[in-house]
Amino acid sequence: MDYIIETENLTKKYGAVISVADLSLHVEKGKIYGLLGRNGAGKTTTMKMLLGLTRPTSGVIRIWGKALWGNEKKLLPRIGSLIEAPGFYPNLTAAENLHIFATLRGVPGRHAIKDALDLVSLPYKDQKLFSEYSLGMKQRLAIALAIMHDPELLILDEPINGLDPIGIAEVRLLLRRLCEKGGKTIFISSHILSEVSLLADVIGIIDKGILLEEESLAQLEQKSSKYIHFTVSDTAQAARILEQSFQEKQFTIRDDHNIQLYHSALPVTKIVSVFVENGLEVSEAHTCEGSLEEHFKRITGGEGIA
Amino acid sequence: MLRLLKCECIKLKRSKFLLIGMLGTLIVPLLVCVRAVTNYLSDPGNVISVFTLYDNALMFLMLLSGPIVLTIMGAWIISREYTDGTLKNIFAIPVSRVTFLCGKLLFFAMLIFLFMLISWLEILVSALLCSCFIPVEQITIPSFLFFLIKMLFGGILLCATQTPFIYLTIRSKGFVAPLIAIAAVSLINVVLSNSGIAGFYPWSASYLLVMGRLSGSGCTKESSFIIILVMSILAVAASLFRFKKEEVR
Repeated sequence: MDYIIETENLTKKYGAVISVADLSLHVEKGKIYGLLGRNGAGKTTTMKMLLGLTRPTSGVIRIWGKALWGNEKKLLPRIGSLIEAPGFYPNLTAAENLHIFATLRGVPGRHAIKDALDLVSLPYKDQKLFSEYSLGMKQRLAIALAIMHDPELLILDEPINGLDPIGIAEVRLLLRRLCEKGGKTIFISSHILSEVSLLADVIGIIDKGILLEEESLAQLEQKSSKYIHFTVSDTAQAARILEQSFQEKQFTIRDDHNIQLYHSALPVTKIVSVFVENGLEVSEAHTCEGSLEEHFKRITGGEGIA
Repeated sequence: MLRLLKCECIKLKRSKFLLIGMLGTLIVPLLVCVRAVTNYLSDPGNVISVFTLYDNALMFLMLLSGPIVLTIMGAWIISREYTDGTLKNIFAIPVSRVTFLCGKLLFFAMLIFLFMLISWLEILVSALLCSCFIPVEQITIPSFLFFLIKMLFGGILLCATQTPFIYLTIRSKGFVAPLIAIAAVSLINVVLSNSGIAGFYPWSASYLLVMGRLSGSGCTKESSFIIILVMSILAVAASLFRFKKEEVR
């Protein structure tokens, strides 16, 4: 399959600290890819490497099949980006700020600036300076900058940061439209699960710099849909039985008596009878409906994703 | 490069720093003229001449106020890209780091020449105005042109001697380090300007070179030029090297 973005064992170290480790991403054409992770998981560093802002310690980045390093002048003009907090000149208006970047990009005419501001609902002739903008307005301006030159690929780091609920819905709609009608590929990062699940076609889960999962939203929903809950006399022994008798490894021990088994196609009764045969007391066993949130918490090993 | 220069001009819009820089530059020739007039009024034997006016103005512009004001301007032009967080937008366009810094340096050099031209013009106007009421010697076109060349030559040397502060700004990504450095440099300028080793000190040597007073310092013209040239080449090379390696964190 042809990928717009492909990384192989991408690693970034800052001294002894590993920010991103052996990351292998695959972003398909015309899809919205959501990189989900807690704060400090390595999302922004990954995006900075994809934009050539930071050099990887090792690994390969291919964009449109070409290595990024050495081809920046050909590849980067086709990308629109937003990284971390919006960075603009505080003494200038939105249009003046965009005019600077349009000049540097060689984007002709004022139409591009006006159209971009219209798309994010910011007035073109406003005399308000960037320093007087609210966080939400700054974020909108940053999105306008990313789309101003009609790029084929958008790399957006936390694009809904600081937006109000209506702004979030507008940006979501805009990104969907850009993807579906404009044929653009969008790579976004977020720590907000609900947003990523509403927007992304494919989700990559990153934690401590490691890509834990990379699946389509449908696959993830399927994976996280059900689990079996057991209340037993000894969860350590139950875990051993699950591993040895059923080769099941995807379970979580909640406490001394509660254990949850995920993604198992085995009948509950069969598992219970093996538990009993091995001397365990089983007081409860039932199938539960799961959620994406629980799935993410489980695989990242804790809290932190809203 | 033209695009970069155009962008630098847009960035100055509504900028208080440019205004402060302008005022800092304008105040020197004005004070020099006021001082010359008060001296004349207290003792008519203290005749005002175009030479004295420009000599005094150049002394302050090249040894004291000029370097300080220009260091503030230079540090602001570069450090604002760090503090405003705009480098990530610029590098992602992509704009080459070397081209970007060269654009900044060229723009800064243009500002220095603008300041020198304004100072020259201010003295010219002040001298002409004074001559309407009190005698002013050497009011001739050749003498004004002579000092225009000297001011522009001073501008070139100021550009060269500002480069270490540019490096400090890139290195520290802020104002504080270059400001502390220029404060120290200016103090040493005051101490050294009349000493025998002033020609070896690039910031004092610049003024002495412009005014042709290097002979008393025990240093040849060539040696001073080489010292200034080597210092500025090293500072520009170090700045480019540092900026090229710059990672947006």
